[in-house]
Amino acid sequence: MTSIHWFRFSSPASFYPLAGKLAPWFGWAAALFALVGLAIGFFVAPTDYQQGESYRIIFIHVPAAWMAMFTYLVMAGWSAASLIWNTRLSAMMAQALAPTGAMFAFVSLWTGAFWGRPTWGTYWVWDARLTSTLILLFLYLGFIALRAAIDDPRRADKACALLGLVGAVNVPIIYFSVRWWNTLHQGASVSLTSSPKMAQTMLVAMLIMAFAAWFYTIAVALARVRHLILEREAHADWTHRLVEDAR
Amino acid sequence: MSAAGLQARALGCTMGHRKLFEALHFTIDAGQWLMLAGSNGSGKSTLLRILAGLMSPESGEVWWRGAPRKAGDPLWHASVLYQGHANGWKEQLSTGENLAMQAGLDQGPGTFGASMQAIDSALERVGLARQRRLAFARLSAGQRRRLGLARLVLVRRPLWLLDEPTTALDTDGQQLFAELLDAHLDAGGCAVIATHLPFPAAREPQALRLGNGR
Amino acid sequence: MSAHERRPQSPDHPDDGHPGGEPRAEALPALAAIAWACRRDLLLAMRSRAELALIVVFFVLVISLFPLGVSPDPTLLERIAPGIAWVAALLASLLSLPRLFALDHADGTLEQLVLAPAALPALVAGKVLAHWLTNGLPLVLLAPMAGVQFGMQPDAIAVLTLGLLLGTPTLSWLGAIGAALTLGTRAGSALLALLVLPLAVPVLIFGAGAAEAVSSGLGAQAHLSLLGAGLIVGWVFGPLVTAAAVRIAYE
Repeated sequence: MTSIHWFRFSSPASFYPLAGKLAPWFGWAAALFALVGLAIGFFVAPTDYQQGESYRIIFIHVPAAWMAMFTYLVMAGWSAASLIWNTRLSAMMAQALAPTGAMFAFVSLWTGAFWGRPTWGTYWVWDARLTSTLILLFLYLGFIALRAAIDDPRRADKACALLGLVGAVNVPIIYFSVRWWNTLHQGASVSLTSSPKMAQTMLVAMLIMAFAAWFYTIAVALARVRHLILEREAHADWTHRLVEDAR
Repeated sequence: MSAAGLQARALGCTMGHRKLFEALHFTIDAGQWLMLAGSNGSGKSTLLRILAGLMSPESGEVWWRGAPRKAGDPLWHASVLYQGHANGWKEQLSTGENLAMQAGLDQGPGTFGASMQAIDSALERVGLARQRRLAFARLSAGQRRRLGLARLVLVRRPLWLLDEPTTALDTDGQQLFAELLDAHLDAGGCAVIATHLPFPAAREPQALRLGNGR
Repeated sequence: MSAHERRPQSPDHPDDGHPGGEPRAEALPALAAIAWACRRDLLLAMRSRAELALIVVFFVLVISLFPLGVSPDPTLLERIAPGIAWVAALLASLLSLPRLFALDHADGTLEQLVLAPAALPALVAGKVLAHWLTNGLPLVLLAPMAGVQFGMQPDAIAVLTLGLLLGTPTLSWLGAIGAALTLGTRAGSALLALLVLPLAVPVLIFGAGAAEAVSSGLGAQAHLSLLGAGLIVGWVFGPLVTAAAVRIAYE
């Protein structure tokens, strides 16, 4: 997704068909990786001696958290591109990524709760990662809400791009401060990745699931950006021709 | 293509899905003015904002005195006086305070107190001398517009971009505006003025009618 | 760039020394711009004094709600006092933020600021300075009273106040960015809160954490230095980002 930076594809009209061709490939790749990852995670990886079977939810929880964070950075990258080169398409890519990023943040929190219940006895703990992910979810929602609140598309592009950059700069600060806060208060010190030695298979499964999530994000973002392109360029000639051809 | 004026080159703007104008060209030299006409919603205000640098056009450039003008450059701002639809004054301040405050920004430090005399004579010129201490909120619509004229009297800048400056003005007010415009043009300034109301200006304007690009 | 020499203004006679309509094209120096904007906003604030008092009353009200909603147990209240004070400060500043730019946007004066012959970041800095003086500083001055109300120790109260002094300007800047981004949207202050509060979390953590650290005998230097760093970063980058956001509002 980040390698598509050839300028001749930077106009919505030429990106539209490219996105259409690429999206299915990424979709199938995502499905394949997810299948393999879940198979390993649910059937092959050994039972954790401490947490039993319920820990297996981390194969969704952790990759989702990683994706939520990573997607925000990519979104910020597209935002920066749209401000520097004043391109509509970069802003549309950022807009296309936001809902998926928010979804992963939510999935991470939700699966965290399901993991938390059997493990700690409560659905929610204020540990560093969960709290940071919660704040990240708010940042995503703010981005989406600001977009929805501004009518003019170009203004919305620029305002959201600025917000995305400000948020991205703050994400490490927020993460750092939340970790500080958490360690000071000796909050739930159970951390998934620092818990007793992760078996090799568990790590492999999580990485595969992370790739699955990444390919899924690319596929969905490409599909979504096609919709956005059609919406925004509805007055242009090439969209009219598309509709004509489709008839 | 004189070196002393405003030039629009191939300006284009789309608002939402509507193409307001495309490939717009005009040139105004010192001492000339352009009258923007067009029905409501035809893009007159948008064009003025683009010329001022508030909005960026989809395509095209604005040139001033032989070089492309940089939107947002304070030096460019020192050359242009823009008045939009909104009056641009504070309700809670008095007429005199408003003008003095704006003058302080327009003309720099050190003049806030020193130009009290200039402020008084500007208010006198536009017929607001007796309203000097009156809160702006208590002025009528026509009087509010006249305060804008006082700013034109006080501030000396070569380019005026005015959006409907004579709305709500009575015939005396329109006459006053025409005099101010003539004095400005005589001194070598230029102006782009969006208006539907005719006013008795001495010089013939170039005319630009918007609203054909739909 | 000096803007000191002035010709006598002669409103009616254009023959005052510059033929061809050629004025001096000079920009206002940055400090003068900050001073102008700050002075203007302070003058306007003084004309609506009642609204200023409201912020202070709101702060005290929110603080007073916590014992009612939680428990009047003094030990508990003393422990949670810094957090309460900071949350109340956050909410009180959110309340006053929309007025920072929205009023100027509505009556057309913000447009003139954007087009003024002065650096917009400087004008914005002046506005935010005035905003902090009228909204942030009163909270800082009220903090000791809140501390006493919750039975905090003097050293904790001092650190709480110092933390608020260092942190409220940063809150003002985060709020200014949010207020500028939401200019002209129909969304209410809920959107502003959604944008600003997540970004304000670090300030909250370090500010409240400083007072708590002192209460539990640890030092608060780290917290306060981080807040100080935030203050500097806020004043360096805040004006630039906020000015960019204001310009976007006019696109």
